[in-house]
Amino acid sequence: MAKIEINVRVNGVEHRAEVEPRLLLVHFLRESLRLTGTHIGCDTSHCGACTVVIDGRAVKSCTMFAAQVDGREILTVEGLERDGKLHPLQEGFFQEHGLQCGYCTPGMLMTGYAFLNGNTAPTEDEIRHAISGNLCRCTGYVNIVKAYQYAAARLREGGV
Amino acid sequence: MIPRGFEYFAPRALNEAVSLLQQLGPDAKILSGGQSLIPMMKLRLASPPYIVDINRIPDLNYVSEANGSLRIGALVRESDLEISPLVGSGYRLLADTTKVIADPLVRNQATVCGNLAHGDPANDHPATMLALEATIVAISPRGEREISIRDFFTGLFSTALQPDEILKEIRVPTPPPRSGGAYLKMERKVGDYATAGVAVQITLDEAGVCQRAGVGLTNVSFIPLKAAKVEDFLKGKPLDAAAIKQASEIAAAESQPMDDIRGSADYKRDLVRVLTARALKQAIDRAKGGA
Amino acid sequence: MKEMNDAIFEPERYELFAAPRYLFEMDRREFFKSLGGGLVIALIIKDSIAQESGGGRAGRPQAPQEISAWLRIAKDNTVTVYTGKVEFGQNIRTSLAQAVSDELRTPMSNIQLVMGDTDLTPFDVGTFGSLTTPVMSEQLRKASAAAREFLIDLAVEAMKADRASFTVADGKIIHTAANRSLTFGHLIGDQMITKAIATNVATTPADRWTVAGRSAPKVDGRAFVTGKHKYTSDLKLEGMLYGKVLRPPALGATLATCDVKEAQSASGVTVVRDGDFIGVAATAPHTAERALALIRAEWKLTPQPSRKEIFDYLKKHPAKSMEGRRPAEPFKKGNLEEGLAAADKKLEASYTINYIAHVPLEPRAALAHWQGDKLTVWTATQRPFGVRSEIAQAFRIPDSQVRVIVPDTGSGYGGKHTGETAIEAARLARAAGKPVKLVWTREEEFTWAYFRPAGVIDIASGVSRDGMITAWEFHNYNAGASAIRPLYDITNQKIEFHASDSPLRQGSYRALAATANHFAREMHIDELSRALGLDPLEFRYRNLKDARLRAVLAAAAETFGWAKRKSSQGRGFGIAGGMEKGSYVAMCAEVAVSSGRVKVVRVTAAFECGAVVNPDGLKNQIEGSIVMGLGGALFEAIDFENGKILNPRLSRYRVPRFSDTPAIETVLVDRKDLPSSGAGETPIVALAPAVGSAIFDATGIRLRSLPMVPNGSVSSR
Repeated sequence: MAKIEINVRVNGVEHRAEVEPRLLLVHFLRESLRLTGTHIGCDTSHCGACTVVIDGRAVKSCTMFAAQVDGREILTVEGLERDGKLHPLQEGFFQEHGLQCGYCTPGMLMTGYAFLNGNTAPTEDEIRHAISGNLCRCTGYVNIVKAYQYAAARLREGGV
Repeated sequence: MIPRGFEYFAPRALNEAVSLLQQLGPDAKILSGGQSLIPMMKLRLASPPYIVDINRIPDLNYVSEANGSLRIGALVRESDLEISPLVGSGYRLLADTTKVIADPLVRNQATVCGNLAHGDPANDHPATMLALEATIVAISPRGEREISIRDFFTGLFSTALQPDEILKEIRVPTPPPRSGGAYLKMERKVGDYATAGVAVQITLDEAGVCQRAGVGLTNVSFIPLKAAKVEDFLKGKPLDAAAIKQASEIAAAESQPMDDIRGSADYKRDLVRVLTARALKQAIDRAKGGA
Repeated sequence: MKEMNDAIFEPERYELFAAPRYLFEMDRREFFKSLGGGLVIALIIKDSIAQESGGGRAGRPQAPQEISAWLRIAKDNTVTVYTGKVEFGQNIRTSLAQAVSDELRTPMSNIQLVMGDTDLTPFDVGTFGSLTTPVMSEQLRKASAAAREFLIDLAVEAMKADRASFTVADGKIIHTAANRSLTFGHLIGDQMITKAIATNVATTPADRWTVAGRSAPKVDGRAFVTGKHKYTSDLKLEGMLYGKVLRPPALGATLATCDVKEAQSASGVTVVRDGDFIGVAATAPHTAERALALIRAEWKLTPQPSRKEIFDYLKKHPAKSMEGRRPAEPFKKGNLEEGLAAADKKLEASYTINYIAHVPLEPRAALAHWQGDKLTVWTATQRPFGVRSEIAQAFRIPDSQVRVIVPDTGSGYGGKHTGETAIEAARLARAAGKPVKLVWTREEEFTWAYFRPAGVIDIASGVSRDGMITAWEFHNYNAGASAIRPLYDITNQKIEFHASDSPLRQGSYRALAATANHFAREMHIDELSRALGLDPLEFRYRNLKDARLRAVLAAAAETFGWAKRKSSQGRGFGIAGGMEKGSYVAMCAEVAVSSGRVKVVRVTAAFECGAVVNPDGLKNQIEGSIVMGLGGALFEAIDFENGKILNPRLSRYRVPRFSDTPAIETVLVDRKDLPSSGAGETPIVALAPAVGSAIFDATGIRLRSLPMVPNGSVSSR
């Protein structure tokens, strides 16, 4: 099958690549760009461990082809930190014990990043709703909500 | 979990996509949101040799009102509907529906038109569009044509769309005053298909008598189900408690569920009864200007 | 330690094999020499479980078998701690560092842990059974305390001052009067000092802890929130290939014929056929998948039991062999017949438990690399040394030629004790002559890993009119023996575990059978209390002297507002409690049932595990247990028919999600006067019976099978 050329901006860096059409975005990120913070948990679009932000929207990178992101802007967990400074959400997960094994964390962070960009004063219900596509097997979710609330408060204060 | 190989096309204009479809023949598949197609390809339940990605076609992402109907373009995502003030205020049934489809991440990518074009009776929009009496606009080398939603679903995973047709737009008639709708879905968990779902859209006259009723049922039949008997029953009746009760029993009888992991047929039929009653009550409240 | 030893040989630990065959002695001097400069404190434990095995002689010097852990303080003040335990999300990298920080009086930032590397860390039996906190934490405290005292000795010598005039704080030995302080590194200088110490070292009592006992953020949390942490599945070596294994179409299938020619002819593909093992390695994952599809294999299927007959099957098929384990003797006390005769009311009930899967979010993965006849495997396992032996046995090489390294892992919950992925990757790597990475798919996880055992529990009991349990007969078929005995004071008891031949592969799961046994027992207690018209809490108090269990029951009831609860049709309340692995838990649950659909609205948990080490970490374990426990309690079940798993995907196997999470309150009963016990497992045991009793309270329907509402609904059963 003919390869497709794509030009894509990932975490602020331009990449040009030749990809097979069937290459999934998550494999492109993990194998081609070696950005392994984006995880694979289920293969069937259920867990959200592979969530990335494309042009401001959180989507599951296991349910997209790399060919589809030609000309688009992607943010992965590796791009959240700016100039050595953690994003408030990253701090939140850290401070509020929002992670145990950490495998779901990048997906939770990316979902939260897109969500808080549009709403820095969310209610607990809104947070639970926003994150309902992400699966965590360890934490019991309570602290993940707290981590979001922590980040929202910091963002309201102008943390970033 | 890697799909079989395929050739990928990303046309930049609608006419280009149309001619590609004509050229590639019936094996080509259209990729819009891909949230049903790609999982099927990964599980190798579908292995199309050609994919026509319509995401780069401009001017297909619109939600607007014109000539008495709401128009939803082929690339409108579920989350676009979710945040649309137009939909939120004037099309409550639609707003209800979009909020309960899959999960928020999927909704950021999945398209409304794709949800219909897939022809899956377990999807949520089919019931809603049946209740709303929507019209489908399809485009092909022969030009555009309109398909009534009543004629759109022809079988399990099959629709009236021809292999060379693209679902370009959904038109939902703007409800007249004193209209209200609601969608209620019982799902085991977020992201699951409905165990059963009920879409109701009604219009009342000044005296509270039902002038128009649309009722669609989700995942209780092979083909998305328009509950015509319920609709006929409701028309011309004042919608009091007795009418609601009777209508919900007719809906239960009209459904054709099967036993599966989500529950027994009896359970689902009972669920249709309960959900129909609740959806009707909510639709009536909304028609009367309530929440 | 006697009790700990027993715990390891509980009958349900099916995946534990006999101790490895090699038990070479290691020269202690040779080992210490290999450690290099600095101060090395090694802890010698004569009666330790570490004695179960030792290392081999060839290759790198390995720790003598009686050393359970050691730490090394370098000239630059850094403290490196070596332990065979592994981090799976239970946060022991943090809690163990807290313990060391406390005893050494040195900041957490100076401390680094090397964990789960069979070449670098001392032998460890495995990370399970909630043993890290009670055993390893205490051992590291001893090593740290010994190091601290020894550093004071050095300071005494260096400054020729009285020992009592020194204090230790912030990584320094301080002479307060002279206003002088010396860093650890300064005292050690270029010396190479090794000290082996025994277990009789005094450690700091919990009420004087300054670092432990408080919440500390995850020590390497930054790597996790920035995506920099490399799980096994993220690793890549130069020239590495991707492996895939051909799976049989059903459990119990054996290979009849196999043609691998076509697959072999694909370029860059290595195909291995070794007995029933068929696998491929290729330069890209999809090439491996394609090659696998080219293999023509025919399998011989044998009929297998199905889920619909499983409970009957387990009762009728006692285990053929106990594989060298001692058979469980029934526990008897008093006279059961007399107890039953004395009863005013008798109750017989049978409880069933379905198989469930662990569903760790990171599927099994391994990266294997042979250099000559030496093999290094990075893999996610809770038993690095056990897996090393498994691999060595599979390849008929000594343990010493195998190095297993466990990167901090994406959870396990008892599901990652075994080494099949490591062995598969190693087999492919040996054939390919290149490193091979193998990552299981979710479907492989659901099919070829192992499950929490299914089981049947039959209880026959009697109670007197005044609310005293007079007789208690308890038979557990296959679920397992953990927490099989009640804490209730019952004069006449007979309790028996019956091992069965399980049609599905089964093994450990968070809290083992304590969940099944507590479910049956506490549901039965609830039934008895209702038969007598007594408040379930009051009924428990009447039959329970154990002060610790009473305390958590009281704490949970108080916080929950048990006395003020108002049940109605569709709204119910339940309570349950118990003890496992030395920790005590009680839970109250509130459920709402509408149109048959069950929603757990609120759960209050009271938990006591001795002295609390890290309160936030502990709360996390309790909350995590509650949400995870909801799955097994309400809807998780492996469905299988004639050797096929019918629901091997997350779309068909339902795990708890955000929308299932109830409001959770936790009460930590901190007993600084008691040694800390593990907390990662026990909180899960009380959830199912608390919820089940609440469902009964709301509906009058007694659900005696786990999961209780597989379709999410009471009436749809």
